[in-house]
Formats: sequence, structure tokens, C-alpha cells
Amino acid sequence: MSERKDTDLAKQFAKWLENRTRAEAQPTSEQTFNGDSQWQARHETANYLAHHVELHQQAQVPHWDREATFMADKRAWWQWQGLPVMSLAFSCMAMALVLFKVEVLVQDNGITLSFADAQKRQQQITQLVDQRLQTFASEQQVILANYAADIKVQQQESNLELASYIMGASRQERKEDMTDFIQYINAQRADEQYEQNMKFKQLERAINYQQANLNTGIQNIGMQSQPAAWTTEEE
Amino acid sequence: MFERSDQTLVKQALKGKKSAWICLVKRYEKPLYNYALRMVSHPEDAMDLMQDVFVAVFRNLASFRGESPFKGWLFKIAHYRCIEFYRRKKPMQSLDDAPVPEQEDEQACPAQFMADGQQSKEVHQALQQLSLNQKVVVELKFFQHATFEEIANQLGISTNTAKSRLYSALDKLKNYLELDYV
Repeated sequence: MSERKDTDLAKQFAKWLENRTRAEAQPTSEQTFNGDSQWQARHETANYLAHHVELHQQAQVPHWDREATFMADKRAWWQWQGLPVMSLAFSCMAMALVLFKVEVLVQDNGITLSFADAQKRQQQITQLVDQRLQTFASEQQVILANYAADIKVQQQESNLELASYIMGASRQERKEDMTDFIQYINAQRADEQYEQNMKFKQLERAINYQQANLNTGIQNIGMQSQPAAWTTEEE
Repeated sequence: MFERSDQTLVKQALKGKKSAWICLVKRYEKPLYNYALRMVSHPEDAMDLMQDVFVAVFRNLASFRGESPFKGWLFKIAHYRCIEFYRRKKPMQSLDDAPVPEQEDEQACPAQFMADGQQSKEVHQALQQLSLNQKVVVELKFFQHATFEEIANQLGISTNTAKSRLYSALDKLKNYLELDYV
């Protein structure tokens, strides 16, 4: 019973306060809350406060720089109001990219945007790797074949050069040997000729000597019958 | 004289028209300063709080859609800034706790006391005994004449919570004001 009465009084007090706010005609506290000291006290306090507010003179605002608040709009870029929205938008876009497995492939001739799953992507990668490996293998085979051909040609050239060198060198040696032999023969012949010359000179001197001796004998014979105009060398 | 609406001034301020913003500031600086003064009880702190609120309002001006009155939106921001101010000043104190009694600063608002007299001083001292949550409800109900629904919307609480806070605030104020109601 008491609780119900209290609730009713609370409702009445709230209604009274709201009506007071709307400046409607007010009953006195005695009329409204007769017999209940708590609500009557609240009523009186509220009236006292309301009376104070009516008499209250608002304080004057001291002089202050009002324009300073307007300059406060020079905010740093990270305080830009659109930044959270932009952040949310980018987050949503990132989530969409992940959920739809969007792949961006940048190539020389353009950009490819694809919505592919990981397995297909893996297959593509495997296929691409195989293709690249095959291309690489064929390239290597061609390079190896070319290298072998070059080596073969180089080997042939080297063999030819070696044979030519050997032939040339042997020919030169034979020529030198023959030259030495001819020089030797010539030297022999010169020696023999000189010896022959010496012998011929000895023979000549012997002949001359014999001739001189012969002439001397004839003279000796002639002294015995010397001509009238004959003179000797000692004279 | 023709007076431009808050909505128009906000649009012009958003386009960079400084005079529109200054006009808006001049229109609401007095109620906001007085609100801050009642909440923080010190002219310098009230001034800082008011400037802080206007800076916050300007920064968030683009988010004001005009669905509710500009004044309500402004005081909602003021309320949040006031809570931040309290948390900075008294980080260990809950918003529902009554403030620790401090040395009364007689020079806190002498001009106001002189203008309003002894009753104003008493009410001011009594309001300082309330917790922040209670003080805000009293402020909205009596000084800004808001309904319980408006209070609930502005503070993000239920109307019953708003009523409960107001009644407990009135009970506490009664003890400090020592009213002769009997």
C-alpha cells in the first residue's frame, strides 16, 4: 500500500516538474504532497532552485579570442574526417579481394585481373614452369649443338695447322741439312783444289828447278866457248 | 533585424565563412560559459572548458546533420567535454561520487556572488556537494528547463535514471540549503 502511494507521489512529482518546465499553473506542495514529508521537501527544494534560477543573473563572458576556434580547422592530414571512411572502404576492398581470390597479373602488354582459385593458379604456375623448362631445355640443346659444331671446326682447323706446321718444319730441316751437306762438299772440294794447287805449284817449282839446272849445265858448257860481248852478272 | 538560423550559420561556417562561425559563437557563448561556470565553479576553468567545447564543435561541425537543434547538440558536446575535464582533474574519482570537500575559494566567482546575493552563494556551495551526474541533471532540469526525456536523450540514460538522479540531488541539496518547508 505504502509502495503504491510512493509510486503515485513520484508520478505526481515528475508530472509537477514537467509542468513546471512548461510553465503551467502549479498547485502548492501542501495540496499535492500533503502528508508526505520526503516529497514535500523535494518539492520545496525544487521550488527554491527554480526561484533561484529566475533571479539568477547570467555571468558575462570575459573577453576571449573567438577567432582562435575557427583557426582550429588547420588539422593534420591524419585528422581528416574522411580518413576512417576511406580506411573502412579499403578494408572492405581488401576483404573482397581476398574472398573472391582476385589476382592482378602485370605483364608487358597490360594488366590482367582474374578471379581464380588457388588450385587453378597452381596448375597455371606448374604449366608455366614446365613450359619455361621445356623452352630452356631446347635452348640449351641448340646451344650445346652449336658449341659441339664450333669445337669440331676448331679442332679441324687446329689439326690442319699442326700438320702444316709439321710439314713445313720438316721441309725446312731437310733443306737446311742439304745446304749443310752441299757446303760440306764444297768445302771438301775447295780443300782438294787447294791441295791440287799446292801440288801443281810444287811440281812447277820442281820443273822450274830442273829447267834451271839444265840451263846452268848448258852455260857451263858454253863458257868454254864464250862470245866476245858476253858479261857476267857479277860484273 | 533578420537573424540567421543556426542551420544557415553552420552551413556557412562549413564553407569557411568566419563571420558566420563568430556569429554562432557569440550566440551561444554566454549560456555555455554559464553552464561551464556552474559545472566547474571556477571562471578560468569555465573559460578553458568553453573554448575547448567550441573547438570540438568546430572540428565536428561537418557531422552535425541538423536533425536536432544545434543548441542541444552543442550542450551534448559540452557535457562530454565536462566529463573529460572532471576525469583529467580527478582521475581517481567516479562520476557518481560526491566531490571531496575542498578549500572554498571565495574569489572563485566574486562578481556573480555580489550580483546575486547570499542565496546565490548558498546554492552555488550546495551544488558543489553534488556528484557530477547529479549536478548535470540539476543543470539540465532547472537551468536549461529540459524535460526528463530530453535529459535522458542528451545523457544517454533512461528517464527513470534521470529522475532518480534528480531526486537524490534534491535530497542532498535540501540538507545543505536547510530549507524551512515544514
